[in-house]
Amino acid sequence: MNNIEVRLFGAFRNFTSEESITLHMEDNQTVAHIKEAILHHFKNNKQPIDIKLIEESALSTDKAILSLNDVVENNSKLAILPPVCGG
Amino acid sequence: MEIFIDFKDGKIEYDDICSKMNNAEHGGQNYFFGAVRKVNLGRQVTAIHYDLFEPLARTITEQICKEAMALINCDADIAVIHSYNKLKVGNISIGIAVSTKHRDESYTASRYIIEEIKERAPIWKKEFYVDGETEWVQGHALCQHKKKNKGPDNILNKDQQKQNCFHD
Repeated sequence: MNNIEVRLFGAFRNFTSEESITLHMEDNQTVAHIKEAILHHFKNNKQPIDIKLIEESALSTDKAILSLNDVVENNSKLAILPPVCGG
Repeated sequence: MEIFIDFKDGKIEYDDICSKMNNAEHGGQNYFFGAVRKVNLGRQVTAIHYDLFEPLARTITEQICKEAMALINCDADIAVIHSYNKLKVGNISIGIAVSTKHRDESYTASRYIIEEIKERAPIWKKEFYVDGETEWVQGHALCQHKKKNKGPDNILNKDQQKQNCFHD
């Protein structure tokens, strides 16, 4: 079993009080697949997530932003990053 | 060449940043402080909550500082502190200090750093309004296709052009 933990930031906090969600997936998933799984997770939990928010968000590790085609190591801890506005 | 980066729970004090500039060989010290504004896009703001992903924010901010140093191509000390959690109107949310031998480079580096942090650092703000409503501020997508071409061609590792969107 491949459990991908995704930490939530910014506008994603509107949809859950949890700091992260855990996705139960097949081995060797791409970033694209994980983003789809995130969308389905919120829909399955009847949370009114905006697909545009997910489309415009990036996935990252602690150290780097990932590419859509990157294959994510099993049981990774990732973060989903909405459009940023620091400073 | 010194780079200091930190993230602080709550408002920043001026001396948090000023105390980091101690290089007697630098004649120019440039300080930028960003504060929470009372009005944004016509709405009266009472407070802002800052959310950030610290490990990646630290990595990206450090990268930005190194790019700034490459841009000015001279000895510099840089300090950046960004707040997280809730701040009131008037509180300082970001402080940037740059010291260089001469002033011109300190202005250039400081401006570069704040502009890049706004577009690249994993930091978000939720505004609180006088009517009781709240809203996460719209921002810059990290999966953007076009990138501003700032500085000389030898800027270190500015590759943020990775495809990371459904709509590609």
